[in-house]
Amino acid sequence: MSLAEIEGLQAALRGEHSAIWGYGVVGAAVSPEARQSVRDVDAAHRAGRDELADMIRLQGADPDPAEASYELPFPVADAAGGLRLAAFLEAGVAQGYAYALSQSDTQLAKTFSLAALIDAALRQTYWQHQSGSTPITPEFPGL
Amino acid sequence: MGDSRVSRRTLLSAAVTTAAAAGLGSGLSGCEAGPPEPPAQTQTRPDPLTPVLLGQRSLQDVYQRVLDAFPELFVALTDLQAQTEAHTEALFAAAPAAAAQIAATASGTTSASASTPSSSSAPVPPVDAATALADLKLAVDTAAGSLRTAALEADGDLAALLGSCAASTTCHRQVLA
Repeated sequence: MSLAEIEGLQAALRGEHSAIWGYGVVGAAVSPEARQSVRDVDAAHRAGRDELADMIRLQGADPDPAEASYELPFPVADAAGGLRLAAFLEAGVAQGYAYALSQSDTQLAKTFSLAALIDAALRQTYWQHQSGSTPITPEFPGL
Repeated sequence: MGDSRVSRRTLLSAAVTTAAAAGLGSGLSGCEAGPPEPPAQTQTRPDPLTPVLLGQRSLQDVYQRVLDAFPELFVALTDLQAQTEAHTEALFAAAPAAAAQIAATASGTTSASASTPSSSSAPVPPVDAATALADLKLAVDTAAGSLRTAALEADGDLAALLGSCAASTTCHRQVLA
């Protein structure tokens, strides 16, 4: 595993940290009916974070830590804002994994990054559908 | 990647060389020469991205056929078609060698068909909306799979582009489901 690959995984990890923090805001904003979906997605991001950290540690590097807090891209005052934030968070996660894919030279990192990129795009699609955004699907997720 | 591969041409020429070295050809004097062999064609190995680009073109064609036949089939279909066109355009720009191979093949096909009347069979339009949607889902699945495979085989920015297109196309499939 090259240094570039490790840095790519670190970028993806930073994206996961940011998303996990952000879904705390999303969960507080969305309707009660949507909270289980938020919990499920949050769990998926925590699993992704842990897997990335393990991959980085296996290469003898220290996983980048989470920040204490992050800046919201826009005020989130209601359920609609929560859904928009969720879609925004997934777009950010996709960026991290697309970069990781571009830096990967092992099949393990490539396969993991590609699968996570696709998952993030699918979740972005889900939240955009929930919020009524169009187009529903991201054109170039991660880029 | 290709160093370990031995082409059929290499094997054949090696066999000829070996036979000549063993003197097998010297005892055949008096035999009439066979018909002259056609000049060897330049063999161009297909670029690995050529099938991906062709798959994108094929997917675009399916979208167009479905929209032509059933313009009201699905409200988001024009968005998906537009995004697919954007993917195709970006991939052609990012893979110039594959794009050139496709252009060369198309040019050859055009000149051949101009001189020889062909019995080209145009794709049959879908007969009903359900068939149209099923055809489209299959085409999207195929394209997404091809993009995923190519993304894992590519490196750098090209890998990211292929992965992004694969992710978007997988989302299209989810929307069509």
